[in-house]
Amino acid sequence: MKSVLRLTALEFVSTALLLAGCSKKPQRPNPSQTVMGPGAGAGLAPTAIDTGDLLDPSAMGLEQRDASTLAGENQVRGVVSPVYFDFDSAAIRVSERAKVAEAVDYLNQNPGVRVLLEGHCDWRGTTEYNMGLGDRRASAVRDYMVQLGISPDRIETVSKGDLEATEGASEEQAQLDRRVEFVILQ
Amino acid sequence: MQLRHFFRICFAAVFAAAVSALAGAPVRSGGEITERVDVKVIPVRIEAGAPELQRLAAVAFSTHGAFRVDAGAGAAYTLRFEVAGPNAVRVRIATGNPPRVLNEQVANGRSLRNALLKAADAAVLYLTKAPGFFAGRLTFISERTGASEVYTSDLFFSEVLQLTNDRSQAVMPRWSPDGRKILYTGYFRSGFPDIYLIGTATMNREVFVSVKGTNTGARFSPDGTRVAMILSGQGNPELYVSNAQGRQIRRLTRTERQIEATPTWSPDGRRIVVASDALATGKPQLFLISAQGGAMQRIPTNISGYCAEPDWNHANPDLLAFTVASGRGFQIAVYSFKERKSRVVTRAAGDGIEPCWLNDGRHLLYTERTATSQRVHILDTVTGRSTPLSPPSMGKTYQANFVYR
Repeated sequence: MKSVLRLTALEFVSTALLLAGCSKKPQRPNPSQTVMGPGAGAGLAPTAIDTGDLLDPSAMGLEQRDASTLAGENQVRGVVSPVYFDFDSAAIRVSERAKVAEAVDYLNQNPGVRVLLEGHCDWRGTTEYNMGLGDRRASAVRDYMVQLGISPDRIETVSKGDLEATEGASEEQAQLDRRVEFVILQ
Repeated sequence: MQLRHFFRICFAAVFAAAVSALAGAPVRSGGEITERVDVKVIPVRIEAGAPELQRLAAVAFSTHGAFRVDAGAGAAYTLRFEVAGPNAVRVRIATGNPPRVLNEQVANGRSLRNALLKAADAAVLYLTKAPGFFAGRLTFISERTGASEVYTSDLFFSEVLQLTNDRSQAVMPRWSPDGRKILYTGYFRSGFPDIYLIGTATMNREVFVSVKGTNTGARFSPDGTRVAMILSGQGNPELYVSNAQGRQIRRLTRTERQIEATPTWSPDGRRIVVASDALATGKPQLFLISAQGGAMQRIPTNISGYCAEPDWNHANPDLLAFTVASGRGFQIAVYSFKERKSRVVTRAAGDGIEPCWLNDGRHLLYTERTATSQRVHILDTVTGRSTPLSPPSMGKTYQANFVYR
């Protein structure tokens, strides 16, 4: 009696696993698992560096910035509303994913335009750490857009850190500063 | 605790009264002044041949925690400053009644003002056996014009030069050890954060590092041959070291998804302390890494969930100053490697951020930030005496970096 019960339980578990496997459909990547999750290799794959050599930036996988990156392109703001972030976080909230999808749709419908992702932080904290945090926020949105099929060539990122944040902001205002803005380049 | 607090208030009141009583000396308001009873403070009387020299010397000594400016009979020493040439000042250090001259020196400077400060530094060295810092130079950011630009000045915000005039953002200027160059991050021209190098003799500016991503945090090594910096060009903000020309760039950290920021060199140039949120996003801590690369070792500051902006004390290698989240704001803390302990050293009304040690290893510069103002202060880490330095007429002024040459 006891062993029969155990067998049934085992069968139940394996059936459930099987069903779960069958019901798995292709779905949009979950950024909290892919962009931010451990081991997800989105973005550039750094190569090992021989530390003894004379290296110029390009030999390291560091690409020189084209100083005229934004020259000759109009910058249009407000086409897609910004993605907002939690305090001290660079993870895209579930509630914000639709905005990224909207930006992706816009780029798909307008093949001639590019996008500049502008990462911002609130005024709390320290300037240079916040520059890093703004960079991470912009990269998180970029990586998600690339996973949704946008070519990395069409995406520029820039961190503004807390440089444009409202100083002395209330918590409500500060929330609006923790964002990545979509700037359409056309 | 209550009693200590009471003594602090008493001392603040007494000191404020003493400063107010000083004839001709401008009283700086807004600074928190705290004195510790157990620390040796030398009362000095200041005399000068010219009123400007008298005022400047009084202001200078009032920022130094080892001294108390005393206009009356309580002074242990009298310091007399006299003009000794176009850009030269003589200082005589005397004691007793009738006065007996203990020491006499002539200092030459770039200007009369600079010579006075150098003569005062000579007096500090004579009386405390520690180098003076009054004749040091600053580079800093001011929003005087409405935009953040790079400036230089002397320690007391005279001889001010506005170096950039870009009306774009400028961040964290840092001197080279010889005081001839400044590295900073600017959004100049491209609209992206790049590292620029300014030669202060030629006023020539060149792009130091401009790779894709965020380029920031650049700092010269103590011997001036290398530069530590934070680049995100390989996808994530990481620590790199280059030569003094921004070439031969080598990557030191590979934290993949974590942020490194604000590297500072050890006095011997062999190690770097960097802030990193390797343990939790938004919660940076301090880590030690060899300047050759290798594993990062956490520094057990054990004081706050947010530790950033480290500045290694080059006159006293045991001490590291840094910014910590404290209560609802930020304050400056100092960590001792020997004691493996940290303590908060500022009591800023809003935030205390952006520490930078001076050459005596005792005082440091920091920024006091409130919702509406940012101002550079000088702090004596021994007595806790804090004095505002940047004048309100300079507007928001912050990220001061110091060099003595």
